[in-house]
Amino acid sequence: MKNNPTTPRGSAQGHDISINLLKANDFVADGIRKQMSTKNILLINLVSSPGSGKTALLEATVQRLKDQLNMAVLVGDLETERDADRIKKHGIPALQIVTGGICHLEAQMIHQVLDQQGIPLDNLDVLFIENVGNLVCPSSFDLGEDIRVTLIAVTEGDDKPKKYPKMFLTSDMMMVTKVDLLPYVPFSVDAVTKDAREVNHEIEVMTASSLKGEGMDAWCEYLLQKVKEKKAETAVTAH
Amino acid sequence: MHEISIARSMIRSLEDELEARQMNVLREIVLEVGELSCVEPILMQNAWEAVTLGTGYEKVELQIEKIRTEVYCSVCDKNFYVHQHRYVCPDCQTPSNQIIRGNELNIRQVKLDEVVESS
Repeated sequence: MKNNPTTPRGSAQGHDISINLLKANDFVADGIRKQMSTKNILLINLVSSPGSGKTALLEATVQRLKDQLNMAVLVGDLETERDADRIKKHGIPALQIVTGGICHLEAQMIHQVLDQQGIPLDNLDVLFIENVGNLVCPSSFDLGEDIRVTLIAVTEGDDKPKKYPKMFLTSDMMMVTKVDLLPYVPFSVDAVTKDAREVNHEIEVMTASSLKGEGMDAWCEYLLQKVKEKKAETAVTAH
Repeated sequence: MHEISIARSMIRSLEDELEARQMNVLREIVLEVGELSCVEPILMQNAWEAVTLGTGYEKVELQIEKIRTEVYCSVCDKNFYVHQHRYVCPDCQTPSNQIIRGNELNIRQVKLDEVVESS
């Protein structure tokens, strides 16, 4: 190089490299996925805007299923322990992850909590992760979950799937919440379903009202079925 | 999204990947940003300037390459670009979410000042 007259001294040389900035997260997420599979635990990541009813859905779910399933919840929030307190009142383990301003949960945060045995994993059937209320950033962070559910409340407007496509693209289910308010708001379940399926044609769609109970039977049935499938799948891989 | 923490992790990743003498002559970074990465190039530039202040990397330029979302259609056996967030093949109208490109958040290239070795 030094003898090449066409290369002036001090010129910049390009070096091709490849550093995936999300690689560390994905690595930890895979570890969590393996750990959950060994323990037969279904891991569900709940995401939505703030106030779509993630905590309310969990409360209603726990009330209905706590005699049939062993459940626990990890709750991510920027500040306060309020959501974990709400869930603990229903008699299941819940742990708050205070992110201190970080707008999403990362796999490393989940791994740390599990590592410190903040949640007893023995005999657990379902571990819910209630993500930070945000439809943008959590979409890029795999937490090792089996199922990602995006909640969208009827009060938010039915244009969310196209505004936040990545979230709907990476979700297995869209749960339309607060459907008891449908008569009072200009929200179309058909329109939101059409938009969501243009982004992700495989997305499942459910509707529920955590407060009034509408749709909760179908959601609980879905959970019981997924727990059964998870255990069957783990049993197969064990042989 | 959280461009500041991405800028910080860029510095950490580069320090892991490159030798100290290479970091000293780092001049430019080429970052691939997919449409689906939720990273906004202008905010990323601002975040880079803010995070590098006082670190010795102030003069390192950040080049951002935007990557459009490209999806594979198994019926036509080819890729198509996504318009208006419709993940549907424009030729045969089959829906697909097999993302080929668009999720990137990668440092693709670094440019280093040529180190003139003393002879």
